[in-house]
Amino acid sequence: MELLALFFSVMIVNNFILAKFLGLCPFFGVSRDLRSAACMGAAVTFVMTAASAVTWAVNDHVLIPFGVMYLQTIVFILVIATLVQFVELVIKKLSPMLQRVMGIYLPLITTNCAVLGVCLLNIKQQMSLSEAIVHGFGGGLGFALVICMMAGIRERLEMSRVPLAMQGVPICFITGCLMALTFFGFQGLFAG
Amino acid sequence: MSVREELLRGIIRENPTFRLVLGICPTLAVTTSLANALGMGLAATFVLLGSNAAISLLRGFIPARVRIPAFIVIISTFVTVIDLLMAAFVPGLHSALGIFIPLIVVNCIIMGRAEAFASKAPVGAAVIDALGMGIGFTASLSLIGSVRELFGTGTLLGFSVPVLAESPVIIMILPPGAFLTMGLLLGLINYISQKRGP
Amino acid sequence: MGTIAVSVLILCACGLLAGAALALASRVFAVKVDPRIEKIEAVLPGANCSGCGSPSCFVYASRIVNEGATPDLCVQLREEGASEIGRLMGREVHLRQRQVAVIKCYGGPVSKKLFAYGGFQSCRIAAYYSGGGNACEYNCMAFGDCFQICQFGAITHTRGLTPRIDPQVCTGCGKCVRECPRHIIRLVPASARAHVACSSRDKGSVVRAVCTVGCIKCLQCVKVCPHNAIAHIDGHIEIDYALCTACGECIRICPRGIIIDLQESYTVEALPG
Repeated sequence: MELLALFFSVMIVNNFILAKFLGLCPFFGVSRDLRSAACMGAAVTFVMTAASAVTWAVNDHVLIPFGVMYLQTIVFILVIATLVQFVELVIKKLSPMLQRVMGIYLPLITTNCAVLGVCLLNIKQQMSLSEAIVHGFGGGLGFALVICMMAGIRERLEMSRVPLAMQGVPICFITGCLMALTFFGFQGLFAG
Repeated sequence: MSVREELLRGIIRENPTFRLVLGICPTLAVTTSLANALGMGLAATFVLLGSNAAISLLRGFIPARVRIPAFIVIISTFVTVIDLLMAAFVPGLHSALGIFIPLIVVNCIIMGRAEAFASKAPVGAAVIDALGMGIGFTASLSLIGSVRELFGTGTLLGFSVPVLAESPVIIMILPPGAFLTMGLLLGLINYISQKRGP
Repeated sequence: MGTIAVSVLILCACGLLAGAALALASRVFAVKVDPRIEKIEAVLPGANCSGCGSPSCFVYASRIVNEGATPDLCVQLREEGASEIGRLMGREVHLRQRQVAVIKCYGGPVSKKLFAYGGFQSCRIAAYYSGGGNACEYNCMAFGDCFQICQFGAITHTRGLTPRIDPQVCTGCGKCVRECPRHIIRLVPASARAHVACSSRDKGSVVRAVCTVGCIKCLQCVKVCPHNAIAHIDGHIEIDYALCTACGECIRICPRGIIIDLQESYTVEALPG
């Protein structure tokens, strides 16, 4: 039950993009059409969940026993980069369908602050393995939700008359502001 | 290009935040006050200087196929250094910036400059480029931070400002305010540069 | 000293493990790509126009090699390319007849206007707003969506006039056909000559009221054709190019002059009456 509350809280209330400011670069970069936004969201969810699990395990079994917690940043980013590369190879071989869906986005996700951010947050908030996995999964889905919303809005924005100075990225920031305000209404919905 | 022009390029013409729109995550997250913004900017500048210099020095030795992982390791080493230094000497700032200090590793500015510039240029040019970009980043962060702090809490660097302190607009230091400030500032800068002509 | 040693050792161990895991994975999960795919892709025009139905030339090449697709779907393939692919695949390749796109509307914006349209200047959008103010439901709205989508530059568009498709440049990829919201662009054989330039399905009396160059269904062309190639189907006049011999009888008989010869270029300036 607590896991469920955590899931919804990280997906909606403490949304990674709109509340925690993690994963903003693809938010403005990949959200031009709905299809690529959905694929990016799927890829990010997948990587965040897998990375949460693996980095938690590495932290628990390698970093803590040897007392080298200060190596967290370096080791985590190494693990994430290797994991993403590994997943790319596996997908290319085993599932052409998945390759078509998320193949090109996987290398972009390596340097996505959302992935490293969620791994660090798992440790900082002293979560257990199951909590970490739910945190990663929920965070990824929240990211996917918001990026798809932004893509839908941007497709409409193409048809609208935007002042010249605001065209392109600035109007997206204003859109993000309105979305963040909307999601603000979810505050206090879940205890988590 | 002269040293002065190189520096100015990083600050104005190719300002990482307002022109290149890179490194948005820390820009929006830590600019709740001018002090935080300055701290983050200086930390990122330190990492940028160190990593650009190191990568430029090692550029002959890193094979092309593993250059991205190598850059990542070098950058994260400098990030760990600044993280520990800040935890020791400025614990208040360290806890205010939170996870965004380790997240300097994945800041697109640093990775981008390493890939595009430092790996191909001699040490001197790389250091000047890092300095320019770092100052530009710090300057833009400070601008956003001051706007948000002034209107959000009516203070600046902790000092109360007479008119604005009476009715602070709380939303400015909350997430929506961050997006709003960034969007309006970007629009303003676009407008100014369009007025000046191409 | 101990701390330094431990950190260095741990990092080295992590790095080595990661490197080994990736090296192993790249062997185990290696994907073999048939070399013929690259060779066929080099023969294909590389325009990624999707005329063949595949999203890119590379995908089409893979489909030729892996799924047995026929190379003749490529609209731009010529004799040398076809025989080269035939050689690589070890089978015969026959080319299809070259097709070009034509807009089945003469006057475009000549038709009467019901209201002044001030909205977004796109055919697709205007189609939602009562066709951009045109009284004829089937005419070319002339905002140039087809001109925008053509990647070969075969379409020229002057504002307010029906776009013109150059049959010498058009490859028949079909992008404009799909783009037109009123579906009035057709693919016809490159050798076609007679073309009925009106898509209106309205009765003659209605057409007379809204457009001076609309087809009024007098059916004189249908009666005069010696080969039964022209017929009144589904509300408008269609030519069957399998039967048409380009004798020109229908072109001469049309009282409104809207059956045209495709080999001669036509402009909206040359409107009758």
